[in-house]
Amino acid sequence: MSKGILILKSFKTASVLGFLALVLICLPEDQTDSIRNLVRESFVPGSEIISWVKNNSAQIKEIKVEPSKSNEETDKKTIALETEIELLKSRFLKLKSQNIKLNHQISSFQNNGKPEFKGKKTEPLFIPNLLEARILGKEITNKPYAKQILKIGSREGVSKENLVLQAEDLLVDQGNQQGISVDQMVLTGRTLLGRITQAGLHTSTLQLITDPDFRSRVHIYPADSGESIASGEGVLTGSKNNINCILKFVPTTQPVSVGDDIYTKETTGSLPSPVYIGKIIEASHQQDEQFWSIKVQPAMKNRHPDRVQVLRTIPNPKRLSAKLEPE
Amino acid sequence: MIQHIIFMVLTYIALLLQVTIREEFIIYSIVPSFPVAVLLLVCLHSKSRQALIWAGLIGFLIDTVSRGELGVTMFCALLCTGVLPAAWFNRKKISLIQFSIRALILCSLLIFSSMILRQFLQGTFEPNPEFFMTTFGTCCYTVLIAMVLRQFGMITRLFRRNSHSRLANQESAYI
Repeated sequence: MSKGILILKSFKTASVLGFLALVLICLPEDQTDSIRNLVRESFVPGSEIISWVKNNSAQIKEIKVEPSKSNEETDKKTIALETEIELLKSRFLKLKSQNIKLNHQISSFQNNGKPEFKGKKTEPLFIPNLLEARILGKEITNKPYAKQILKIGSREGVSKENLVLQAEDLLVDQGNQQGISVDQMVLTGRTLLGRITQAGLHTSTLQLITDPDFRSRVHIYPADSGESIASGEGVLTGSKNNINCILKFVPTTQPVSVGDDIYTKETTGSLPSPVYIGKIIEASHQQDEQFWSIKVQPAMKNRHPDRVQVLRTIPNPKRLSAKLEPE
Repeated sequence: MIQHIIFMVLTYIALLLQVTIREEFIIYSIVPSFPVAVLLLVCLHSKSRQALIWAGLIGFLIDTVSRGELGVTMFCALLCTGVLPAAWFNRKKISLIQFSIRALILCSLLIFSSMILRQFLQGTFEPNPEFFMTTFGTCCYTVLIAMVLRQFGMITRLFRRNSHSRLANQESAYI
């Protein structure tokens, strides 16, 4: 091939490539970005390998540094670690033996129907127990379709044209199956929130203490007296404004003052102590009146909490285990 | 053919090093250019036409990993390789000194022209002695890397020619 042809070929190549380069220079950035990204993406596997090598080399360096520390320090660390291992070993053995013992108790209970642990026959047969429950109102009313669903139907006499009025009662997600029954107390933050008015299979209706239909016998405890003896008793009802409560049937012969505490009156014997309700905020009476006119502010902070506790009574497992023992 | 595959692998590694661990090789704020080092090695070990193609390709790849307009380094690489005498390319027996001088000239032309053109296009070109000193330092550093690569290739015989290249070498003897 002659020199001239080779030079011409080289010139052609250079011209074509040079023209291409000039076209690339003239291209706008948004169009060249896709080309750049395409090329850069091809470097991803390689850059990952390099970063892995870099990280590993750093770790190797760290390992190499370790022997340069003084032997004394290393010895101390070794002794401390060995001691720790010994302690953990002994703890492990202790837990292992405890586990074996518990497993044995469970298997004997399953086989014989008798528990290994023995309860006393003098234990109370029923004990109070708080059952955690959720208020269903919020979840249901937040759904767009929920407002159209009622838990009653034609069997209860509901027909097509009946008006639907909003009820004040709240719905909790526990029912008969969980041992909920009517008149059980419902607490929130260890203060009285209301009581169960209807108990279904899975849900129950809760009546707040501020409900006008609510009725409960309560005790008045004088404020700041330090005494644990009730100064009087009455009947707590809700009010029309659904915010405060009214204490009725407290004779004017009994001493009552603003700030006195109101507690539930314990009658069943299942509760270890009365439940706090609130404080008296107003107390007055006319000369010829027989009873005080008392207004009570409930202690519950949130009238519509997400979670409540239902106070129920359950059979005492200790007593039941004692009952299984032969005479 | 094997030679070209080796060049391609070298180009990929050089670009990878440039985008990942370039900072590890900075000496006195002088940044080396690994792809340019490979470009020097490839161009000075290929025939003039092949050198042009390689210069264009590596220049384009350098542009993709650099800021600014795409095609600037490609254009400069083609221009610099084109203006150099054809006798500089594809010489089998070339001393290290000859290689280093030719590489330094090619590298300086390429790096200076591409940097000036890039800055000119962006409107940020301000000639000052510091710029020239740093750029020349980059050129020297890059040539040094190219020399190391060449020596490594010579020892391991990575750049030995196959039969096809030998024929091509005979053809180039006319040039």
